[in-house]
Amino acid sequence: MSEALVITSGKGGVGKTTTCANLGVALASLGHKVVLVDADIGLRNLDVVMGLENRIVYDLVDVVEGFCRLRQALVKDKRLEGLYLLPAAQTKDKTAVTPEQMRNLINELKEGHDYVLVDCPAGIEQGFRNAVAGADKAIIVTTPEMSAVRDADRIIGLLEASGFDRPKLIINRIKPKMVARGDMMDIDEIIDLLAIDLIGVVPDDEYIVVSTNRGEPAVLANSSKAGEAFRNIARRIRGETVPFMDLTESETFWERIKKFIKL
Amino acid sequence: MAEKQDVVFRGTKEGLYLIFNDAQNFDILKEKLKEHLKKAEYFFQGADVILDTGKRTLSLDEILEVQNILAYPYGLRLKKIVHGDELLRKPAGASKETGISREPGTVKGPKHLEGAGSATSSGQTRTILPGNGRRGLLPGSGWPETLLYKGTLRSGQRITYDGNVVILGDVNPGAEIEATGDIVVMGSLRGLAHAGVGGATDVVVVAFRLQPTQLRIGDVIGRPPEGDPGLGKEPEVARLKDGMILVEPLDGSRWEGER
Repeated sequence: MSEALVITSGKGGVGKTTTCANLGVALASLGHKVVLVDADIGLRNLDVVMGLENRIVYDLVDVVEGFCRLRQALVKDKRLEGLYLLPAAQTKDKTAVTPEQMRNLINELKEGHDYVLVDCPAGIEQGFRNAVAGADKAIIVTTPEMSAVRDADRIIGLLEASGFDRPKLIINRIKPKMVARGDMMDIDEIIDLLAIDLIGVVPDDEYIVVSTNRGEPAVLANSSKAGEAFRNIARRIRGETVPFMDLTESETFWERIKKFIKL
Repeated sequence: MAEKQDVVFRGTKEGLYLIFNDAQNFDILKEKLKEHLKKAEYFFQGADVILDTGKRTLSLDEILEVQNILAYPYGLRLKKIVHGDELLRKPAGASKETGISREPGTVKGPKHLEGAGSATSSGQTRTILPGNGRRGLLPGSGWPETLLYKGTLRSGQRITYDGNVVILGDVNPGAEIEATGDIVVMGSLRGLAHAGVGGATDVVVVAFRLQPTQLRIGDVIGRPPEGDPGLGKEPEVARLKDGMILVEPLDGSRWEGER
């Protein structure tokens, strides 16, 4: 049984691409056959985050236009067996493919893989419509900021209207200390507004910046808190029940170390 | 060569065809329509009108305006809207493409609403107009019609209804409700609610948690005071008093004697 999941948010810069890369790596390291599809035609990033930029020969638009076969366009991951990337074209734009073509493409990809993860571009226009076409389920990424949560709400409305049943929510870049101080929207507040199921909370982690620049998803680093959160989410996608990480505890631990160093 | 008339009425078996010149400005069409109706006086009274807008697509507000012009004081009801030669090809009875739902009553979830085909056209605006164009009065009873909507109304979604609206769920920021009558939200109202569209002043907005971005009652626009956390702690009712929107705790006994 294979599944196509679209990772979307409405707002840009909340971590869709990072989430997509990390979930892909986490699912592949659990032994699944995974393909990541970059649907952000014209502004591709997923290849960079995955560290596979220099291996691209053909892209999604080439496949759709029939310049190459699907197999030829898939970039094999350099670290993990069973992980592939279908990169977006950089020199075209969103109108280069239609939702119908995307649907066919995703269905074809589902045949050879357990999970197809589609990285959706920001916005609600054609890029969004392309990305959600063919997906079975949707994962919404938001950050604890009002603007991101509003856009997530809009996206959920659009997804529900196009027949998606209960999208799942990832809250990214939570800063437990700020939440504790009451300076940041907390998880309950976001869930109360969006009224969908939470599938994971990812703490803010400086290591993500490092990992993005290096092209090494954080999931590969054992020490990264964000990486651990993504590994948990991947297991929940598989249907496992994984308890939510205690974010407050990790914070006091770091505080203790900081205090220790200062002393 | 005969000039194309802006507004043409044509009687048929199905009802009264009203044909708009799609090249003409909408405001002029409205005036022409009013003139026509005035000339005909009560000749058309109570007729079903099928509006042919040609290539033009009317916005929600425009549809409501036409509906109002037809309804008062001549009692015509807008039955459906067609586009140009569609009216010659399509069998009568289907009102799907117009976005007019003939059945008031329960609407559950976005999938059951019209035009839910693509991601953009759906979920943006929900036009739900009752069939009888008479300011939401239930035929024969004199009671207002009420729309019951089950589910969360999300950002970018809008309900416009000629009558009362009850939401069994939340109304999120960026969502809008417009009703000619009262609005009741059995949940949190965080978006925009406009009760008394068309000018009614004896209408209310009720919510379990009344935390709207903006409230409109009749022609009055109000917004909650900046940084006031006091709103929305208990069920509240907003109504017009001396031209201002007044919010007070919901108290059943206050309804006695009203209506």
